[in-house]
Amino acid sequence: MRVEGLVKTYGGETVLGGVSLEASRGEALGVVGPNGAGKSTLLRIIAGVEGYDAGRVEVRGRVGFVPQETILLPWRSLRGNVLLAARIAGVPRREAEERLEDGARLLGIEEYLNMRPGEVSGGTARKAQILMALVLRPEVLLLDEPFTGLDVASVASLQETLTALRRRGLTMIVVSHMIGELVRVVDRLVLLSHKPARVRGVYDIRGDSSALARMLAEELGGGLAARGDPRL
Amino acid sequence: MGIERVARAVYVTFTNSLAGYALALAAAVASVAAAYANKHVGAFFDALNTLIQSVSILVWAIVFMMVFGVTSRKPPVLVAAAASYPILLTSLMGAVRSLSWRFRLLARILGASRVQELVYFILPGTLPYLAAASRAAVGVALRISVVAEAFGSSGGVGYWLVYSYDIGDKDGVFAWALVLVAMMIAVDYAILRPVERWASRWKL
Repeated sequence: MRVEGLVKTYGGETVLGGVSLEASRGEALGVVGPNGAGKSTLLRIIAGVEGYDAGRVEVRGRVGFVPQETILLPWRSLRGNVLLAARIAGVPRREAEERLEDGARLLGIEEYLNMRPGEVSGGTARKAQILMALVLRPEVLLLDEPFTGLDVASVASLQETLTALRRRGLTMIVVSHMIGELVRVVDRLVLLSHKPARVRGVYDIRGDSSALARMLAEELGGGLAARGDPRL
Repeated sequence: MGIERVARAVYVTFTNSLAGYALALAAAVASVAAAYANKHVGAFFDALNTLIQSVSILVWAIVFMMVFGVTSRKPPVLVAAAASYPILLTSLMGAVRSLSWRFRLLARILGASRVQELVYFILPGTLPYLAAASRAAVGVALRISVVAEAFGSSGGVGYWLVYSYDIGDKDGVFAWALVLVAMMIAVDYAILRPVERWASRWKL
């Protein structure tokens, strides 16, 4: 997955001012930056949901996208939602069922599949949203703020799932403002500057991740670590 | 006013109203689908809605009776449809506008076609709003079809109510009016409220 010189403007205001980044197969990339820096816009563009004004987006294989807000159809069960995603993508019914069962096992939501979104917790609904992307067997998975709104147990469980997916060779790009949670699942962190967003630094965190997370938090201007923010 | 006559009259009025409502529902869903596909078509149905609402139900009743005849059952059905169509269309159009951004985003993420977007995401999402609007629309259809029946000789509650008035049977007038009220309450509690409750479970 490669993005080169991506430019996006909204009503004359430049949100992305030439963003370039790259992720190799099986790599997990975290994208961090101040609020409104254009992180979500960047993901939506890579997912093909939104257009851009200049630059290049090159993705090999299918892209799965998990948006910031959990959007499930409330009149369908979790199973129904996931199978609808597979149906739209043209996956044969039997194969879709197999992928559904496999993904649900991985995410630990088998017992909730026949429930409707309104009947399950936010964490389970979030996982169902991820399953909707996984059932398409993507080569690249894009996750926008996957930890937001989840309790501690759900965050830990989701981190385990994302780590398992990475081990399966899935390329992931994860946008999150919860750096402390993010560093546990990604290999490198990309730091974006505020509008217009540009890549300010790329940090390999496969070494001492907690020290780097503190440094980044301070660099973001929020001084999270200095304030003893529990997310770190 | 034998029980058989009452049952027959209730059946006629009920089926007239229901057929009118069903016709209006089909037309409203088709209008919304067409409007969703093309905004110019949407503007056309907006104008049509205004036109239908600006014409008195009395005018519709007379026109349909002139076209189909006083003995036909079509005028009460069509008048009920003309009265409930604007209610359903306005509600559906509003629902589509208010929901579409979330479901459109999900549809786009999943790569759905325009038709798939409408069938799987948008129309089912309007169901709670449609159920609420249907309560009003069926009520209007019932009341209005009775007016159309009064002009003709189709044998519904409206026909017998006016017939009782014509022969100076005051008790008959009140009895048929009570039948109508009982019908409305029964339909509301037995059908419309449960359907609305069921559909509102997935209201966002």
